[in-house]
Amino acid sequence: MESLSLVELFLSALRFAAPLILAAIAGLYSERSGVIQIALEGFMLFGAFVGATSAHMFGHGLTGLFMASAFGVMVGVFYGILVLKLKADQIVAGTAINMLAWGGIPVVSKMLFDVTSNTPALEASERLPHWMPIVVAVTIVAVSYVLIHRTPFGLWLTVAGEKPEALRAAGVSPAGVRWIALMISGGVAALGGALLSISLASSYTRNMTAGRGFMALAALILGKWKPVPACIACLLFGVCEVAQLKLQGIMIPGFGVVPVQLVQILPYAITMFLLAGVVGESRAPAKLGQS
Amino acid sequence: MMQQLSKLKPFLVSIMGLALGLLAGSLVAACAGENPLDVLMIMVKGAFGTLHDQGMVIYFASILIATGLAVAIPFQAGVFNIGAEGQTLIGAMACALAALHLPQDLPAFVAVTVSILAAVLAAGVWGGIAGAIRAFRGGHEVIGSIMLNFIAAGLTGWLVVGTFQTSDSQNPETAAIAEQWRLGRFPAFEGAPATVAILISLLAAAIFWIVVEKTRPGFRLKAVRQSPDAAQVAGYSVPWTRFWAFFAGSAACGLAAAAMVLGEAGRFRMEMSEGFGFLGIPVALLGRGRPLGVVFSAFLFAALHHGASALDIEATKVTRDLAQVIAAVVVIFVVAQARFTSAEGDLQ
Repeated sequence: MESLSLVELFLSALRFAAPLILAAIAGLYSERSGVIQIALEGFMLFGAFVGATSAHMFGHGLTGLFMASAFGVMVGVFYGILVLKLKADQIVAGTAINMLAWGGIPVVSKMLFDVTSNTPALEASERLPHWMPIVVAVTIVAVSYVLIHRTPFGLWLTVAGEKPEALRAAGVSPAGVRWIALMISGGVAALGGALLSISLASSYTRNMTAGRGFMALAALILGKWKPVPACIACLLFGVCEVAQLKLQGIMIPGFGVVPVQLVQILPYAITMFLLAGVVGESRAPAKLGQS
Repeated sequence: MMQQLSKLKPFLVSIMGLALGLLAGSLVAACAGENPLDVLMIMVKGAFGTLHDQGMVIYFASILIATGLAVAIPFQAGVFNIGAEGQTLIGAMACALAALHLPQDLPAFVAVTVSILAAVLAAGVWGGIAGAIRAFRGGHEVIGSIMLNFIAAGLTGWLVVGTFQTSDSQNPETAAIAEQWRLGRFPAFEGAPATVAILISLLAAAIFWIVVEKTRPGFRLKAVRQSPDAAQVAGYSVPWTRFWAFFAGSAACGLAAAAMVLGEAGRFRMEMSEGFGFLGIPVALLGRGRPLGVVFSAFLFAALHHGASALDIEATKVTRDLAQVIAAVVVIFVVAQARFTSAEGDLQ
């Protein structure tokens, strides 16, 4: 059996982790500004569907990425209307967005393609190159790092989540900062979903995000709401996914073939352990959920 | 007058939400090129057309009351359980295994009771994991309970395929449970699986009402939701209250599991929860987290669910997924008007 070199393993883990990294960064903008972001899963699903559909219709993967993030921004605005304007319960409103994605996408898919479960398979030319998820993820993380740690906007974002009254005293509207944060959040998470359907796979399939939106939240908490540590947590999941592909069908002496179902629950089980073990020491933005 | 009006408000919001959901569903159907009125008629006829259909609605209601309670009970303490899907699966597996492995000479009543209790306990413990992580470690219960959904699907899938697969079926399912150990079907509904499960679910809702309205633990739940700090000062343990609310809610899923395993399938089937756990969320929200509200909206979503399944056959451009859209719109409308998990405020 050919063994992977460490660099290769790292790159393929990064590739698989890219959608998750984008979702975690998306959650970071929202939660740093003080708005709980349970809707990541829905944003990603919308992104995956709109991305694959646009790539199919316009014949180009980059168009798919662009349309997906534009649509994500719109869903982010919708979430903003619910939680910022109507002051809805953030956790339940986020769940409502997820439900809209779970139920709404199959209906639209049926209208467009006459099947509820997937979009047409993309041609090789319509898909994005192999390295694209890595480039997009690294770029977004780098830009976010600079934006959050080196610009006034980054400072506003943090203060909006910690001490909004101080922001108001300085003449900046916390609500305005949160609106922008939610739009970025929607756009970036949808981008992650689109990478999933246009690059890692070759079509949208039903519920293809498989809980990544929620794992991203766990990674975010583990990374203490900071871009680089959150990414490293996501990479852990990426390694897990690569291991999952390698483990399937392998014999372990004395145990037999590793059952596929058990390998598949690995990332979810790890998330549970992280949630139970590490979160206790991680501190959320002071005003999270109270905007 | 004003007081009467404010009492009516939650009810009006629910009715408005439902109307808006149906309107949105009609719009979507129209966009797809169907006549919305025809679609509505197909759904109404599909839900109530025959006695068998009505029996199916009762069967689905017995499941949805339970999964609705699974969301509504933790709401009382201000925590949000979205893991009913996995809790139902684990409960169903426990129920089937108990019924298959109990000594065959047990009286039917004892065997059925033990199987139901096994389902309730297993579902409660499973959800209790997420509840404990939230209550004692601060890890978010929404993330925890959704992760447990995936783990439950994998675990039960592995158990049924790997260990308990029956040899007389190609499908991933366990052997059939003895005929006399199943829940009795009401004869009026032409063989539909409307069983005593509906009575058990209604009883659970009644107990929920009594506990919340009439007992000290019920008061404790409300105190923890409305003001955790004050509850702590008053000597209530906030973590334990949250944990037990989560445990009790999850345990209700065991009743949904029993309705499926002992009432309909007669065995465990892979992925048999089929989204009923998630449907518990709109059921609880539309019912404002109140026992009677949950019962009413469970019947409503049961009719919607069964009616929409007729769309797969009789409509060409929309499918049963339309019911999901209607449910999502209901949730969005109701949630925009109400608070459920926040520290301040009531379930109004």
